Amino acid sequence: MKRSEPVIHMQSVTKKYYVGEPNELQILFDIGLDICEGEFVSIVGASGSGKSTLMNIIGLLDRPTEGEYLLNGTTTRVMDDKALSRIRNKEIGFVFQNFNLIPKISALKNVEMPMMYAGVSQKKRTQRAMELIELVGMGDRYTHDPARLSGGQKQRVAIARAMANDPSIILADEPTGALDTKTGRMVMDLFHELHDKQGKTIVLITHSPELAAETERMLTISDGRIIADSAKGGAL
Amino acid sequence: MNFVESIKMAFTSLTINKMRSFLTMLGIIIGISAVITITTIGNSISSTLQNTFSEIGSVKLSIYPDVHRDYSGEWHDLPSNLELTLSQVQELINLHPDELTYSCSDVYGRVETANVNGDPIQASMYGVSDDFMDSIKKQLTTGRVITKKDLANAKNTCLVSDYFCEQYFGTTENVIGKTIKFNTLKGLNKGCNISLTIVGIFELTELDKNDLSINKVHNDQEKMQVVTYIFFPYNTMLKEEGLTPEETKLPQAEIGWTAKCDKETAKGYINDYFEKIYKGEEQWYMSIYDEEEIVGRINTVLNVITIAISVIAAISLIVGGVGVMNIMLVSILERTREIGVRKALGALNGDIRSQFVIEAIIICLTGGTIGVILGIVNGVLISKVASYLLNTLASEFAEYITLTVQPSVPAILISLGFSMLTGLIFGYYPAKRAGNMDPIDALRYE
Repeated sequence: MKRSEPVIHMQSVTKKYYVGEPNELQILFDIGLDICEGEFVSIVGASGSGKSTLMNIIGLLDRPTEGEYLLNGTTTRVMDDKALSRIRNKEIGFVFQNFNLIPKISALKNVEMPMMYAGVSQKKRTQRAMELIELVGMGDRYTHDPARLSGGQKQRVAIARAMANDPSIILADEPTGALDTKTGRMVMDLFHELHDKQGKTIVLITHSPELAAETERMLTISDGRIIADSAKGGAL
Repeated sequence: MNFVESIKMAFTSLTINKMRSFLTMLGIIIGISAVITITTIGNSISSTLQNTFSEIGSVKLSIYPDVHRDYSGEWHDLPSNLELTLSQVQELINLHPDELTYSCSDVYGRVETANVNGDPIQASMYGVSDDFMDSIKKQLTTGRVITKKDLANAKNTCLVSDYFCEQYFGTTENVIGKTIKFNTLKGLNKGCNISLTIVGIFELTELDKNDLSINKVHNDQEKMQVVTYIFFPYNTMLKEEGLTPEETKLPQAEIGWTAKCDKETAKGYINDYFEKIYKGEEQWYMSIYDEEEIVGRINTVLNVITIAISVIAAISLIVGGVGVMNIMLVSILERTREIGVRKALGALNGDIRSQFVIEAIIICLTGGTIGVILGIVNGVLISKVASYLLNTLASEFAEYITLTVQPSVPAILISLGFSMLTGLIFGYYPAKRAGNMDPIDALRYE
């Protein structure tokens, strides 16, 4: 895929809740967005600005009310829930603020999980999961269950899990929000490493301008509209 | 998603909250163990009876004149023309020679003799046919059985027991060929003497001795005396008594059947034959007593008990199933976030659904397995206690009643099947709810 071909292409995307009812609520207004392969993009905005809704739409957990969203050049509008699940599984790696590891199963099993849903054989997925765990520096703790890991360690396992099916995008929602500055720094370094060494496309959602400043491109969202894009020279 | 993985996950979540899992399974454990206990006992009783019957001898049909159960007219004694005679039985067998068999042991008398010291020895004397020893599954310890030739020529040969030899000779050595004179007490013409030559010796078992004990008043003291059996050709008895087969009345006759025939056909032949003789008779008829019917009747009672227990078990399975459903709903609520994460990572609704259905099935199947094990242990313990009591209450039967403990395999398989079904039915609704959860809502759930 050439860099000119966007991984994410959004055109006139809106999101409304309670459509047709008196309390109709519009969260996103006319979002137009292109993110290309290998970009490290941050989306910043205050809480309630609509950045979580935008992330859900990018992550195919939610559908736009209007507008077009193309992932890798394929329209997602006509897909049913099953097809969306499959694309989520293969093309999107989620990293959540509160880690969201599955409790009571080992770090290794957590990393294997997306591959299990993709139907990868046990042998292959264990091998791949071990590689990823080594990559995030958790090689000595792969048998531990999440309760025995620190916040930073949990997030590193979560990043390994997000990488499992070699997705087109890593979608990180406030990945350092629940961590102290030092471990947050380590997690950010890991994202930089994935971006620099593996050429991953990363979309980072944060309310912290400092973290956003580290990324190649910063989008600012406010009241459901993208009000600034550093790639287009700041304020739109 | 992978099936094995689901099973592993189900066991993991079972072990996370052991107490809760146990309490959830309790209803199922109780239900299944009740069914397995009762079927183990029932099956053990059935196979014990079956074994006892095959040990005592082959099953025969006993025929004897009897009064109709619903007869309400005036009672009169059995007319002599309706009494069962040897010739009738012989004629019946001759009508179906390849299908019916008659092994005579029904010509009976009580005799007495005395040993060298003058001690009286009583014996029950049976006129028998040549196949009689085979039909009661008795083996000779020495000598030969009564042969067809003995029977045809009405030879004065006899079989005696080892017990008789001990009483009469003081030994069982070198008694073959000795002739003993008996005085008849009953059955045979009174006062008649009969001399018989011993051709074979059989063992008198404890069960036989128990059967043959009589009360005897001796010097004002009541004493148990054991009588012994003497078997000799029935034709010899007829000859001694000067009776024809037509004149030989039998209290009953035991009719057997060959491999070319079956029990029901044999019953049909007997009924056909005696219907003609008993035509017009209202009070009396030729009754057929089937030993196997006792087993059948016990089995019927056991089946009724099993059905009753199964109904109770079904109720307990339903209650247990509702418990499983309840705990699954709680578990799904607790694991809402996990469900959201799994969906975000690409799990399909069906993946989530099957995971929870499998979990419910595993809970029920584990409960069912524990129930089966408990039930077998219960059944074996109860059967052991029963056989111990039986042996202390009636020790003389001990060597005949060997209790066979046998759990019912079909009952075990059906029970496990039903516990799985319970899991499937009661797990489906919670699992469907989990599968249909919206991933965003599930992820946000606190």
